[in-house]
Amino acid sequence: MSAKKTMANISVNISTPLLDGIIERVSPGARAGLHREIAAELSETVRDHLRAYALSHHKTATGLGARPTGNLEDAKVEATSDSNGATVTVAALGIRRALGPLEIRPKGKQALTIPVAAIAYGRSVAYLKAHGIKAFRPKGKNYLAYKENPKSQFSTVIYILAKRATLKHEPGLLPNRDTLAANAISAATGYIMEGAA
Amino acid sequence: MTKKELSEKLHEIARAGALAAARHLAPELQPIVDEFNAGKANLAEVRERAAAVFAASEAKLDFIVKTQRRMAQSLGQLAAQTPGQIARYPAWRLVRGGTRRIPRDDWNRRWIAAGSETGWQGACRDDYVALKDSPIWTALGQGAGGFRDAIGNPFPPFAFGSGMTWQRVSRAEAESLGLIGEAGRRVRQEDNG
Repeated sequence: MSAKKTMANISVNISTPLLDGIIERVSPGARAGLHREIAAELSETVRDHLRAYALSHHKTATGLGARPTGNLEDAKVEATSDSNGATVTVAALGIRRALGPLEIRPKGKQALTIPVAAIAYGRSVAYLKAHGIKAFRPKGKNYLAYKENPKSQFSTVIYILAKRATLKHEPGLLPNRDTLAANAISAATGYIMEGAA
Repeated sequence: MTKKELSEKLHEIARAGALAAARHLAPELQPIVDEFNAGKANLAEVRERAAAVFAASEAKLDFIVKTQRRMAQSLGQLAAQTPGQIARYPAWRLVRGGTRRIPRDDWNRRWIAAGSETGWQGACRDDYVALKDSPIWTALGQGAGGFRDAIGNPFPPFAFGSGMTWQRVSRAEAESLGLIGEAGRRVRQEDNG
């Protein structure tokens, strides 16, 4: 199984003596069908998991009083297979946190903009500018702020600027290996039993 | 649905999305262009007002793209269904898949309207569960009961901006809900009330 944006690979070993013995004896055509069944099962397992996770994990958005970005709701889960194996690809922003801490750095810009206000959460500086909210960097400060009233002396900090940031490891973002393996074995067993019936 | 039908459906969705975007953008830009052509506005004014229109349109385009992306995901999910998947998970449950600022509170009315329209074929009355080939999904997508925000597809999202999606339902649960018999035969038809 692989995860994109950024990309990572997870290998799930579903080898059992019984399964291996059967797989060895089936034709390449039947093997392709078996792998398709496993890929379909794993992609549905991942979809179910991501949906449940997305609904229960939006502490940052809630803490800021912002609307969740819905990145996981929009995750793309794709299954491919052939006679050699099955691959499930997951593409979602930051999905690689499932495998370990993810260090991010600015690309083509001087600094990362880390939102600390609801108005900035899930939105870029350019987006805010297009909507009439001009963020500015006070001299010598490492944050961006904006003034709700241009004549006011008070401003609101909306982004912290950082050269890099590390997103913490979130192992629960994807189903664990045991669940994936168990579901894959269940799908493979079902496929073989249906063929034998 | 065959692969050819799926491909045609995807093209249809892309065309509909492009037309929707054009309908959203063109009418709003037209008055500004007319004023410029009539000499009633200078280029700086046109630029300023066009920028305001595009800023507003960006959200609409984002909405259109998100809707299309979610439709494409559902089509991909349907295309990946195998006979084994359908045998082990013969039904879908309509569940919330994404948070919304103001979630619709009318799904119960939508479900009852769609179920009534299709005679509850392969569908539960007291749970948002129906067999994968139940006509209730088509009725739900077509806005049975007069819901004008329906998108028209027999798969999620069933309505614009909706966060409701599918969760697969196992064979054992489908049996316990009376949707299928032990032999796999669908049992819930018009005669269930």
